[in-house]
This record gives sequence, structure tokens and C-alpha cells, in this order.
Amino acid sequence: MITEQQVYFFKTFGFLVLKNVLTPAEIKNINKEFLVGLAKMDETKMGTSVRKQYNWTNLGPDSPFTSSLLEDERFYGIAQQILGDDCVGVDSHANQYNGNRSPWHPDIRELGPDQFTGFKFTFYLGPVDGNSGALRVVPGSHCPGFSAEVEKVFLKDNNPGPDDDPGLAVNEVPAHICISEPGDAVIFDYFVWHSSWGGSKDRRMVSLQYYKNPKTPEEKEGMRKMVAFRKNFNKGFKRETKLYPDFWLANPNNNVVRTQWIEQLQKWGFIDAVNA
Amino acid sequence: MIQDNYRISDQEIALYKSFGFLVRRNVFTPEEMAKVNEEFDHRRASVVAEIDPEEERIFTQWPTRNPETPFTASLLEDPRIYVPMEQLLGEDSVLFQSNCNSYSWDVQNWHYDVGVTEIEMIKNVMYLQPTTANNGALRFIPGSNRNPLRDELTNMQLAKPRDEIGVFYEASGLSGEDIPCFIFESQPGDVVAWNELTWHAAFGGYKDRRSCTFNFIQHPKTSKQRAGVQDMVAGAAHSVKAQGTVGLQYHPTWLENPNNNSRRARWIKNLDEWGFIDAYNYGKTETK
Repeated sequence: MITEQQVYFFKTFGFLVLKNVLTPAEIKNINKEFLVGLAKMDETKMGTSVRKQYNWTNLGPDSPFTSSLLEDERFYGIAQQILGDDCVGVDSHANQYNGNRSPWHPDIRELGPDQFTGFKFTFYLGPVDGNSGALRVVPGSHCPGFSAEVEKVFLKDNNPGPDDDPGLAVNEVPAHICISEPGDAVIFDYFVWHSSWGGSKDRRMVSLQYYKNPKTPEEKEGMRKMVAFRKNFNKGFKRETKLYPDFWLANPNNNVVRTQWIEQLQKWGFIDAVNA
Repeated sequence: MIQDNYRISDQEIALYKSFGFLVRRNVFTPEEMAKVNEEFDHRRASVVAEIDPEEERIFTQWPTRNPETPFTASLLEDPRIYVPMEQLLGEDSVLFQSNCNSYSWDVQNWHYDVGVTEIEMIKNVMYLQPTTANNGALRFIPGSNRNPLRDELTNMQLAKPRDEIGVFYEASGLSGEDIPCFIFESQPGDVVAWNELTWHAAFGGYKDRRSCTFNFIQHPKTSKQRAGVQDMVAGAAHSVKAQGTVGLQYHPTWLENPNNNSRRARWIKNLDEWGFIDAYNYGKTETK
């Protein structure tokens, strides 16, 4: 659980750093499972962007501990505090980055905050700082007005200006740097602008993702759009396994929370869309 | 006509407008900064001599437009300062305030400079010593010049005076250093310009941390903007008193404009029309 002030901080700035959420033994375990997943990767599965990213689901049988974190009270409890008791754990990924940066972007541009609410926990498996791939965020940029302003700034990597004024490199954009040690986690709103700079080969990151259960007509329409968006988005990753492996859907331990989530994901059409 | 050589790029303009501040590196040379520091030494000594030692000040401020600091005063009319400001605020904008500051406090808590939102003002600051995160560097909360973030930070009571603790700080256990921000680590010669509504702070100050400021204001066109200027004029005399500024903001020798600088002549005309000269120099609180 986090304090009221941490919720307030998150809602104001669009992100929150949590220290020592996972123990060294747990990080060791996650790393062990990470290596199993990584061993199944080869160059054909590496993303083609500057991130040079391998990305795979943690919901398969190779990573039972990492998979269980989505339902872990330390994460799900916080998600419930921020998104409501009936929020849904949607995804968990392992990522290995081999590029030296991730360009600036918000995770979702296609919807507005009146249509969709969700966030991601990220935790790095090694220490990271401003020059070694730590997450950079523009505080407050999850607000639509500010986000639209950030959109206007030329960025060398993914929104270049004219030849004589090509725009800013990742590290030239004024930002807050989320320095982190193994065991720390950063929560960030899908709408917040973020990036990383100075990463080297084998930068490891695990993410857990949660969505608010849509209630209003706008949110329900937003979820329909999100399903379509995620269907196309997933085509950008060269994954071998389904996003929701049969192992996870089978819910072998009859986890009550997972049962509810699977029902919800099916109701939204999410599983069919992203597994297609 | 704006001089092309000193113009900031469209990109820099977009960055200022998006984030509420703009960092410009190596605007002045080390030789120029040495000269500014030398003048600062002399003027500070004479200012300190004027102040009652019983006051035990931890902040000393004096206006730049002063015959004792001719090189620093000349920077007001240096195109490296005014050209970018004219790009951002209009060619008819006016440099209304410029000070040298010697700080000896360790914390300058989160705040914005003005509460007047009707008219845009930009402050330029250059530090005369290197700054780092733990050594007095200015910090900015990006985009905090606009709402909803601006008001949200007010609600959090980030701006409590240094001997008080705001509700959010008290309840969260966080301190000003924990507020997420961009940290402007700088070398002498670097200049940062910010919208005076943007939230900023500095931590880890030391005795005689030095800065020079150049504040520009838009030329008011609408009745709302004119009201904004009037609010600024109305608060000018109070600000001189509150800051303990030593000496006149507009020194008579500067007002004489001996070289007939056309830009200065325009500034003086506007400053007089709007009431800034009476307010800053003579403490008049009623606007013209």
C-alpha cells in the first residue's frame, strides 16, 4: 500500500518512485527466470528501433514467480488504490534493451484521460542512473494540455525538425531522472512522457500493467479503442508466444483474482484481440 | 528588426513555450563573467557598507543599472539578452527589472515569482559561480507555468516559507529536494530564461551565491494585460521593501541615456508611462 500523499504525488506528477519493493532474493529469482526467457530470443526477434529491444511475456510457464507479481498485493494493492478495487492486471513483460536510449514518448496517444486510465510498474534488474538508462519522465506531462505542448517540441529520434534544426536528443529534454536500484519500482501513468538515455547492452526491465475498469460511456468506448490499438500495437513486437499463454489462462492454482481478470479481459475482447 | 545572429531557434521557442523555461549555454565568455564578478565584488562591498550590520542579512540585492557596474549594466542592452526576449515576448517588450543578488541561505524553497497571470514576464538568470544539484542549482518543474499543474502545486503548499512546513511535506515526509524537476546545473556564462509563473527552487546554497537577473515584460495590448501591468506596478514598491533592494532600480545616469540608445529610450518611455519608475524608485503605489 502507498500513502495518500503518494497517491496525490502520482496523480499530480504522473509517476512515483517506490524504494525497496522487492527483496534481493526476489530480484535474483526474477533474473533467473529472465534468463530462461532471454535464452529463447535471437536476433530475428530483436526490435528494429534504436532501443534494440527483446520483449516477451512473463505470463508463461517459464516465469512463474515473475508472473505471480501481477497478483501480488504489493503491486495489485497499489493498483487498486489508484484505479479502484475492480481494476484489472492486464500484462507483464520482460524487456532486454541493447540500445543506448529509448526515445521520448507517452505509451498512449490515441486516447484521452477521460477515455482511459491505467499505469505501468517498471523495475530494472540492475542499477540505473541518468547516464546508464534510468527512466526519465517529464513530470506532469500526463495532463492533456501539457502533453500537447510537449508534442510540439522537435525530437531528433522520432519527431525531427528541419535539417538545420533537427531537434533535441533524448538527454537534452528537461526531465526528472528516476535513479533506481534493483528492488525499486517506478509507477507511471500511460500518458506521461518518458524515455531513457545512456543504456548499454543487456539493460533489463520488467513491467506490470493495470487498467481501470471502464464505467462511463466514454471509458467503455475508450476500452473498445484500446482493444483495437493493442491488437495493432502487438504486431510491432516479434513475439513467438501469445501475450496470454494457455498456462496463464488455465489459472492452475485457481487464483480468484486472476479468474476475475480473465473474465473481464474476455468481456472487453482483449484476449482474443491480442492473442490473434 | 531582430538581429539574426542572436536569435534563438524555432525549436528553442517551442521548448520555452512547452516547458516554461529555456536553458542557453555559453551565452557569455569566461572573460566577460570574470568582469561581471569583479564588478560584483566592488559593488557588493559598497552595498554591504551601506547596510546596517545589525540586520545580519542573508540576502543582498542591488539593481544592475548602476554606474558602479558599467559592464554588467551594459548587458541589459546586449543583444544576447534582449533579442531572445523580443522573440518570445514581442519586439516592443520592456526590460523592467534587473538585479544583482548575493544569497547566503541554503534553501530557496519552491515558488513562482509573480501571481499576475494576465501579462507574460520572463526572468533571465545567470549564476556567477558553477552550480550543481547539491550546490545551489536552480530547479524547475516543467510545464508548471500552466494549469492544472500550477494550481495543484499551490494546493500542495509547496511554497511555504523556509521556516514552515507545508501540509503535503509534513504528511508525506518529503522535502523540497524530493519534488520531481529538471535541475539546471550551470557554469558561469550559461543563462536560463523562465516564464515568471513557472515553479522553481534551489537547494544547497552557500555564502555569497551570486546571480544577475534581467526581467522582461510584454507590452500590454489588451485591457486585461494593462491591468496585469498595473498590478505589477502596484506591487513594485512592496517588492523593493520586501527584498531590501539597495539603490534605485533606475539610476539617474541610466535614465539620462547619454548615448541615446533607442531601445533604452523606448524602455524609459514605457516604464515612465506605466508607472514603474515612480514605483521602483520612489515607492509610489498608485498606478498612472
